[in-house]
Amino acid sequence: MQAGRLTATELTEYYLERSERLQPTINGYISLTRDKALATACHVDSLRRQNRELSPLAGIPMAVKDNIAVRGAATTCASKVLADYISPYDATAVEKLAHCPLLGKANMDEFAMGSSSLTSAFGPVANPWDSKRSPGGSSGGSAALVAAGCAPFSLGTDTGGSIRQPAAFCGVTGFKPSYGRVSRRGLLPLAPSLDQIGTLTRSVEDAALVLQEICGYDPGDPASARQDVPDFSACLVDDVSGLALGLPREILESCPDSSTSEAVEEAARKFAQAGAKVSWVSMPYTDESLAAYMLIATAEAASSLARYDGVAYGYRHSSSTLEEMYTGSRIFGAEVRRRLMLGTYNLGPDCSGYELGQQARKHISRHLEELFSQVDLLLLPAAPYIAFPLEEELDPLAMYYNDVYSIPANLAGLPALALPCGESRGLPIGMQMMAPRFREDVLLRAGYTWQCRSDWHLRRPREVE
Amino acid sequence: MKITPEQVKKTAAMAKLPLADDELAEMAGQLQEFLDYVKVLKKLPSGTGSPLQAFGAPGPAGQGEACLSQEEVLALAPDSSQGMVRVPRVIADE
Repeated sequence: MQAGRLTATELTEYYLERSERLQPTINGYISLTRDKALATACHVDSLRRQNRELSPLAGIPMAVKDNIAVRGAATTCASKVLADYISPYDATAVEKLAHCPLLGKANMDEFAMGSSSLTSAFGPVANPWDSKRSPGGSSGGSAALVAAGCAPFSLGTDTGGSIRQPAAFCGVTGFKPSYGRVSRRGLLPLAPSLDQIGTLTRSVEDAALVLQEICGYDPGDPASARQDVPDFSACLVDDVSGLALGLPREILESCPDSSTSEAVEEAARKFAQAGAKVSWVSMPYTDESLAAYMLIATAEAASSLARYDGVAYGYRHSSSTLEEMYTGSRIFGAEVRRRLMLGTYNLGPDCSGYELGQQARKHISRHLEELFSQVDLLLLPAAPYIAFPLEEELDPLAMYYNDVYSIPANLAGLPALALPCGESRGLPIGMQMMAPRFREDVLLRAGYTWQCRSDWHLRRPREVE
Repeated sequence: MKITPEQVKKTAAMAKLPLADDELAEMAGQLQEFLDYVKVLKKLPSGTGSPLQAFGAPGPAGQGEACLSQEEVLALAPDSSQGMVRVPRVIADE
C-alpha cells in the first residue's frame, strides 16, 4: 500500500469477500460490518493520497471479538441478553486501531465463558483445519478467522487462556500481554482482575505491530499500568543465545496428549541448538491454579454480570413486577448460568471461596516469581489437548481443564505467547511461553527466533483453501 | 461440606436466575463437584497480607469525564420517560 500498488479499499474488499464466502462454513463472525470497513478503508486511501504520515497498520483490516465495544456496531458478547445492543462508544483498543477497517465482530463463547466457542447464542464456530472440530475458546472466532485467512489479525481477550488455547487449536500466534498493558476500557468484563485484551495474528512480527498500537496507559481503565511501551519491532531479533528457558517437569510429564508434550520438548531442543540455556524446573500447582481460577473468575463474573437485569440496557423481560423483570431478563445459556451460580455461592454467606482463591493466587504468583529468578522464560504446552470434536460432550470440569496450562499467567498477570509448534493427526499443536510481568520484549525475541527457525506458522488449513 | 437443595435455591434467588426445579437439582450436583475439586487449595499454606488485592493498589480511576450523554444512555434503555429509565412499578397501591 505504501508503494501505491494496492489500496486499503482493495485489500478490505478481498477480506470481506473471503469472510462472507466462508461465513456459512466457519461462523467466525457474529456480525459483518462491510459498510464500516469500506468507509475506514476509503478514508485511509484518501489520507495516503495526501501523503499523510500513517501507522504501519493503516488500512490493514481486522476482526474484533464481540465482547469489545465498537461504536455503532452490535456488541453482543454472543448472548441473547445483548442481542440488540449497539455500543455507543469505542473501546480504547479499538480507538487506537481506528485506521484499521473493521471486517466484523468475532464469534465467541457467551460472555467469554468457555473453551470451545460452542456456548455462543449465535451458533458454534468451526475450526478451519477440520470443520467438525472446535476452534477452542473463548476467542474461537478471532482465532478461526485469522487461521482461515478471513482477517489478517484480530483482537481477542484472555481471562484464563481464551487467546492462547484457540490460537493453539487453530495454528495461529496468540499474544496475551501483561495485566495492565492494554486498556480494557470498553471490554465488557468477565473477571476484571484477570481479563486482558490481546492479539491473534499469523506471526510474531504481526503481533509486535498490533501490540505497539494498542499497549499503553489509559486513565479509563483503573488497572491500566503506567509503564513505558518499548519498541516491540526492535525486539524481533533472531537470537536466543544466553536466554534461560525453563521446562516445567510436572506439566510435561503429565500432559494427557503425548504428541503435544513431544512437540514442546522438541521445540526446547531447537531453542537449545539456537543457544538458549534450557533446564527443567518445577511448576507443581496446576490443579491449584485451576481451582483458584474457578473460584475467582466465577465470583467476579457473578458480580460483573449482575448488571444484566433488564433495567438500563440489554434484553428486558416484559413484566408487571420489578422482581419478575429482573429474573426474566437474565436469559443466559447453561454455561453462564452454571458459573453465575458457582460465583454467587462463592460470594455468599455460606462460603469464603473468593478469599480462598485469592490466597492461593498469591501463593502461586510468588512461586512463579521465584521461578523467574532462575529462568527468563517458561516453555510449556498452550493446552493439554489438540482441537476436540464439536460433538464431544465434555463435562464442565473437563472443559475447564482446557485452560489448566494457561491460567497461571492470568493469576500472576504475566504476558504469555502461544505459537504453533507441530501437528498431530493433521491438526495444529501449540506451545506457549510465559515471561515476567511487562517483559513482552523477551517473548517477542524468543517467539521471533522460533518462527525464523520453523515453518509451523506458515502452514494453512486445507479445508478452506 | 455437603451443599443442600435449600442453599442452591437461595443461591439461584440471589443470582436472580430463573432455574426450574429439575435444573436446581442438576446444579446442586455440579456445585458439589466444584466445591469438592477446590478442596485441593486447602493444602496450600495461607498467605500473608490482603488476599483481595491482585497486583498492588489499583491506579487512579478516570477523571470522572462523562463519556456518554444522558440521551445516549437513555437511548440504550428498554424503556424511559422524562429523562429517566422506567421500570415496572415498585411501590404497590394502598
